[in-house]
Amino acid sequence: MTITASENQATAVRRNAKSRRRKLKPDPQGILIHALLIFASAIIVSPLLWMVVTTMKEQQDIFTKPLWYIPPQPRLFENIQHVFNKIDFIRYFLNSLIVSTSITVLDLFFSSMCGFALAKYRFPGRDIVFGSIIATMMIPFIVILVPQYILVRDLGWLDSYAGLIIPAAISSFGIFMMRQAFLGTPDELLEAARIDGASEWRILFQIVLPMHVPSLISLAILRFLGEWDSLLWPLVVTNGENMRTMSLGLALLQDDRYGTDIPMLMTAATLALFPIVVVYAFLQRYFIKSVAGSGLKQ
Amino acid sequence: MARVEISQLEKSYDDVDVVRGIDIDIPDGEFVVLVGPSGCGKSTLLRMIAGLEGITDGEIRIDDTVVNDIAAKDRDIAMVFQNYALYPHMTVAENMSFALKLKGEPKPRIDDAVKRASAILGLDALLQRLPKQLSGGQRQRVAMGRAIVRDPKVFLFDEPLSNLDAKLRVQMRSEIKELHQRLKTTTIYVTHDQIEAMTMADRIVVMQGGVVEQMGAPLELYDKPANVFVATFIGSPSMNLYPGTVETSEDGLVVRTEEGATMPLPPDRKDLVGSRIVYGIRPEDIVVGSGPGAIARISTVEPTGAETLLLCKVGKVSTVVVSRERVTLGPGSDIALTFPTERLHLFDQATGRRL
Repeated sequence: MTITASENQATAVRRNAKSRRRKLKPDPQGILIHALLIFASAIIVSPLLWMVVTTMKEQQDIFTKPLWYIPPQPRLFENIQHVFNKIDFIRYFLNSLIVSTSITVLDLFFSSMCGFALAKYRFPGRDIVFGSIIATMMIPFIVILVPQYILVRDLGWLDSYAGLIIPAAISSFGIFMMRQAFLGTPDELLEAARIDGASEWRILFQIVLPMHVPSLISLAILRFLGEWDSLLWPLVVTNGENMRTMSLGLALLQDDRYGTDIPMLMTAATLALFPIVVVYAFLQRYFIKSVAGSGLKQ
Repeated sequence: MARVEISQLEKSYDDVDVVRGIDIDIPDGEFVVLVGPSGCGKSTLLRMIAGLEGITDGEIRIDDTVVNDIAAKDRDIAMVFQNYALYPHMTVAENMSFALKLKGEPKPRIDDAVKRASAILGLDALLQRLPKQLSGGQRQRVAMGRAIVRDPKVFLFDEPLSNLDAKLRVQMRSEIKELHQRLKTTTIYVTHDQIEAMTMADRIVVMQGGVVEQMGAPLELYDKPANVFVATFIGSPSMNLYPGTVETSEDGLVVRTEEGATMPLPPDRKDLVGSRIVYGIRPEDIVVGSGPGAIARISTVEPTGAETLLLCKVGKVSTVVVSRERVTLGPGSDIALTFPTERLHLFDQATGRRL
């Protein structure tokens, strides 16, 4: 039997129409999954949205008006002014920026070096060292808080950038993450670089690290966000006004005696959130790439 | 260019000897292929020459300098890896110029070297591309270009064609050979593919179990394999081997195989009567259907176009025959096979050595 071209085309058209109809057919499973996802997203996003909406309210609006009420004349600038009058916002913001950035940069540097050695060098006791580092991840921070405080006090680093930065300058999580990333680097690449005359430093910084930018950025985001939000250690290690970080500043805005000015607190929180949103917006492409690629052979 | 001398080289990992007592002298400009099955120690040997692997005992000299304790970067060698090992974030030009930049060469000289190498390998149009934008063959060429720009004393190739498809492999094989003929740089090439070894080498080193089984020109190894291992490893399809005992019969001197078949021997090998030997003949040396010979039953016919492989049974003995003629017979047919006595290879059954 011969099939003509027009018959073939007709069959193709019918098939396409059929598949289009199939696509339009409701998929109960898909609808359920999407409904759940939308619900979960709403739960996560709504407090943030409420925080932003609240920056426009007055204190009495919080208790007298509906939850999502937006006043006809938003009081955002007044609230910002209140924040700046109440606390040394710029100082706290800069402190947080200096501390978080320094910790992130130092952790990227040290974790890369440790991760590289643990992934690519053979030396006696390597696995024991790695196992010990992983084991420290299981210890809650609260357990080491006091010993760490005593160490920092004895070193004379209380109420200083050194006290805020150095104890957090290297993390077992960072070492673990970078080691896992470096494991996938082919040994031949390092050997080719060695034959080409590259030193071990150059191999790490000029060959290996540029291949793992997504992992570095992921670690940077996680560390920066973690340190920006950090409250307990800065609370313990700082005394004076000058060394306070943003989280501490926000905590100071809570007034137990006369009641907290919630719109002012939410305004400060929104302002404090700003750098995190900026960092994430710029780097999320790499972050998602790294997290998505972590279980895949490239 | 340089002479490479390897003497009494040993390599052990804990109690496991990977390479034992290797002695190879590679004259200036020679193309030597190290060939052997997986795990025979050929790549370890190459890596020791490169300086990527420590030496347990023995000596490696490059141009009369003992390099045992000299770092890889100071040995003036260049290596091409199986997976190309190109720096993924650098362009072709940056990959090729990396070593010269590290050496602190002036930019005009680096540019000249890259230009020269890219012209030799036809990479001019690809210099600004990243490795991921290249095909397998192009990547392999860049890896060679990276080696060429350094103008090293010795080129080392570690199974460089294994990741390529069959057609590209044949093409790259001849390109590497042409490159060697052009540059005349001493080259040590590792492969497990005996065809690659046969077609490219000035001299082949056959290795097994960490030792050198035989060393020589390709046809020397093919015509006069030193032992059973080399006889079976070199040549495709493999040599037919029949273990048996030498006897005198009414047909003259013969080998009676363990399955009861008799194979003719040249009359001048009376010294072997009573010996247990391995009788070997290459599939292409067996003559099909001319004159009196053993009757074989065809079990499989494999036409490749240029030749036909016949898998047959002589009695109970399996035999592979290569016929240059078109074979019209099918499985189950009988054919007469003649074993020319001048093309035989005889080995001692106990030691495997050539007799």
